[in-house]
Amino acid sequence: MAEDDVLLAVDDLSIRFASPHGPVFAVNHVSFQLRRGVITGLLGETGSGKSVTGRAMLGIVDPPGAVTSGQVWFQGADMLRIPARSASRVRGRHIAMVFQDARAALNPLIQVGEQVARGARGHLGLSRRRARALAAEVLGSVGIGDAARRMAMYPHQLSGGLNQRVMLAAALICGPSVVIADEPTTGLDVTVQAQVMKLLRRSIAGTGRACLFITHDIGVAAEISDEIIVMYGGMIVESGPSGAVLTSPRHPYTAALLGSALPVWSKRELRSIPGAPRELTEAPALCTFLGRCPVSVPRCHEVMPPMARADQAHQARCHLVPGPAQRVPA
Amino acid sequence: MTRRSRDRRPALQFARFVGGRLLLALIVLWGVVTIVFFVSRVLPGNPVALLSGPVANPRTLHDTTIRLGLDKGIATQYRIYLGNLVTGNLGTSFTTGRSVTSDILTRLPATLELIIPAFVLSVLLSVGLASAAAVRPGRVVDVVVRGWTLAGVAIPTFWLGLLLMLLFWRTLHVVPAPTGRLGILTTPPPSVTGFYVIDSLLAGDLTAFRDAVGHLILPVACLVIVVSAPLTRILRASMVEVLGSDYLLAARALGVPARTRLFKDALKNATVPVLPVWASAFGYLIGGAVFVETIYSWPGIGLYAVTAIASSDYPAILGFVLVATIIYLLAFLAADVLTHALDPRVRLA
Amino acid sequence: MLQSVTAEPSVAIPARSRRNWPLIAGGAALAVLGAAALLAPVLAPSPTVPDAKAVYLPPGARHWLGTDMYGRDIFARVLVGGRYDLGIALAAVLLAVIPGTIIGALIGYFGGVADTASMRVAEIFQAFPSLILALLLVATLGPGVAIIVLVVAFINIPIYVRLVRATFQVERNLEYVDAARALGVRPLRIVFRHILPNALAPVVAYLPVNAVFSIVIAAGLGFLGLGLPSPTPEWGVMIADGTKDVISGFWWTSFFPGLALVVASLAFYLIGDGLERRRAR
Repeated sequence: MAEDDVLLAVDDLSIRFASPHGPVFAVNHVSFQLRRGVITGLLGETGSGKSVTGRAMLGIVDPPGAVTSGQVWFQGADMLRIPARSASRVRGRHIAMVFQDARAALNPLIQVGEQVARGARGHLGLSRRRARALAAEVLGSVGIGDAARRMAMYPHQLSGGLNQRVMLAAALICGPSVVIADEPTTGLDVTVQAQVMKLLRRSIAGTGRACLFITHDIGVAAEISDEIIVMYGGMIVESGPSGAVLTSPRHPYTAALLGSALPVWSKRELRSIPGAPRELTEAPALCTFLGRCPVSVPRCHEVMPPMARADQAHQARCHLVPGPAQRVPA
Repeated sequence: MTRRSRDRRPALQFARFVGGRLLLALIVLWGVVTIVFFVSRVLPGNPVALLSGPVANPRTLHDTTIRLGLDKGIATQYRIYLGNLVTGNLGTSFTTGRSVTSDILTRLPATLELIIPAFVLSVLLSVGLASAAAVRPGRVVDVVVRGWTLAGVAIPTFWLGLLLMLLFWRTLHVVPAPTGRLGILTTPPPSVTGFYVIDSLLAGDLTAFRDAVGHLILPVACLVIVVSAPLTRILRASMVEVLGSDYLLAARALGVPARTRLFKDALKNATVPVLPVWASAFGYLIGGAVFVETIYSWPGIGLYAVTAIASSDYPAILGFVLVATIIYLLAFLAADVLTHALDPRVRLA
Repeated sequence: MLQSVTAEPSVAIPARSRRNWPLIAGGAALAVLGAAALLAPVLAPSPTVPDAKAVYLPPGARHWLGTDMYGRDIFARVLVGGRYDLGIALAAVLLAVIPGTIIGALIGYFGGVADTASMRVAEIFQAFPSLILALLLVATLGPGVAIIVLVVAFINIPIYVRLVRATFQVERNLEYVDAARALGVRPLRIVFRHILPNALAPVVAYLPVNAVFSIVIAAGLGFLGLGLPSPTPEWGVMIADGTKDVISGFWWTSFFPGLALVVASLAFYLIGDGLERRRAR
């Protein structure tokens, strides 16, 4: 993997939240890289820290959350430490984010065309007319027909799928090199989901962009990711090429996740992972999956497993690695 | 009509909307007028006495009865009443002897000269304070603003007016005596608009101008303090909600600079749902004007009403109630129209 | 402005203090005022007796809050005034809550013509600024404590009607209502025994706000000369009398009754705030 293929690097990121019951350690020592032309899926349950990781990459973690350690390297600068003005010049222009609920993410009182064109005027300095022309073009490229007329509409007049495309257009209009998609397909009909994913893939492939696709849905992650990162308890438990991770998972959690996903025609009963994920009120000293893990060994109770290499580019944070792949519960 | 042609003629659609709202307002006005009729003719034990005044002799009583049809059935009375209203006849005042309509029209500019600046300043102040507090939640500004809105709710207008007078006139001597719109020795400027501030400028009379403004300070300040408290509280809550919304986060993620986010996104989105509250602030102002005019001897319709109360001048009271309510209705109409113009969700449902 | 660098989370959510300060403060203030009002005849025997020798005395040892134009003790008058203002406010709220809730419950559950008609009528009454409507009614019906209480209660009723109606419109579609109907429970019983307890929370939350509103309108009416005749030591009337005194520099005749009003309003407001905190827990 060539070094200059890496567009964004997250290094030892930790994020803590203050709550009335004490601190919550939402993200713990997370490191990964986004590469040119690669869609990286960030897979995890609710509360695994994946969304806030995405926010941290843009430098928009707000109180009561705060980054307690780590760096986010983009174009030679640490997004967490540059002045606010420089950071907002990067956002939208070089790193863009697409959100889950498109209609909520759009201002209900401003025409959609204007919201898409805003980025071009602010970041690229285009005149109003040229920005609108560009917006119309981008809207067309994300599959919105009759863009010129649709631009004058407001979010509440458009369907969920159309709004999602508008948001994507707003994110892509300045030609960012990194796109972070935070659960963009959650809550959409399956057919619309498929369309959005196809759209995203088209916008990334061949453009040399890097994409981080955050989701809790294994099926979606499987379909869209080139590489997968699995998060649990605020830590990365497994990462690697999606084919390898999904067919021969090395971490018990990943295996259990895969075991809980049923194909539609399956006749066996639903299998869930016993126990429930809990919020970490202390910095984790041992494996975060301990207690729910079906294959834990005595060493798991003594020391935190390091990220161990299972294969080329495939690693997992488990004492059982290197070793055979985990069994996916049948 | 298909959506396409509706989109192409926004002006027509707007006109239709305003027309519809005006019609509704007229219906409500009719309801208001009917209630006033009911209260003044049906409710009292002795409507004739009420409407003839405390010093009426039998002849006056008789005249009033004939004039207003008080010896006839309710329906006739109502007809006469509505007929009078439509021609602008609100009866005659016992204290001034003139028609209530002309009394009120003469005094209305004085009240408006209080209410309009008070409203504008209240809005500006509440927007400023609410923004400052919402943007820095939990910090000093926010706590101070929240404490102040609390105080504003609890302080009665009339007491505050007296307090201000005590402090700024009697103790600190920075404002002129509460002798109404002008000092005793100042001649009012020739009347063009009825607003002394404007008229004195138009006539080039700077002494009168400064005097008029000086006399405006305390009553307007009193109204502003009381009215902007609840306005600020509600606007702040609205702003906090908007600032925490997803689209503001998305705008931030897209790199929209903070100032643009505050003024273009947050402010606009926060004030649109608050517009009806602004209209009811106008209602507060009318009520507040009654108190303020009394304390500061301001010759507007509020003082007129209070004098009428003291001398049991019932027709004058009725006239005041009607005019005040009409102004209130107009404020709500304006808020409705503005909401329609600014909120596409309402406009293009 | 530098972005926040890695650091401890700077704005920790402050742990809410265990004690409910607003409720305590508000409750205490109200208790004091209430006790003072109730005990007034004992604490301040002669609020309406003039004393020509003690005219316009500033606050001092003998007359804690000074005397007015007739030499009457202001402290005594403020205490007794509490009976009027607090009494009127509380009575008006009570007189509004009960019919308002009942009407709101009935039209909220049954709907129909009564509902539409009531709402239209309420809308028309809402077109009047509250003080102006109160003014109109009291000017027509004449002075007197009973009239003021009734008028303020009348103005308060629509608010409760609307509040309860809204809750009922939501609740009547819920399953427990269906269950009750399926069991054959009679409609009125459903309304009052089943749904009403669930609808009371917003009403209770609104009571303190309504109390502030009522006391302000009552005092306002008194100030305007609409409520009670002059020797009555109602706070609004006292302030009105004190207006001319301020011009001559005698500030205490209007200051202290007004202060009492502020304290009472704040007390109710704080109680309301405290109640909301308890609900939020």
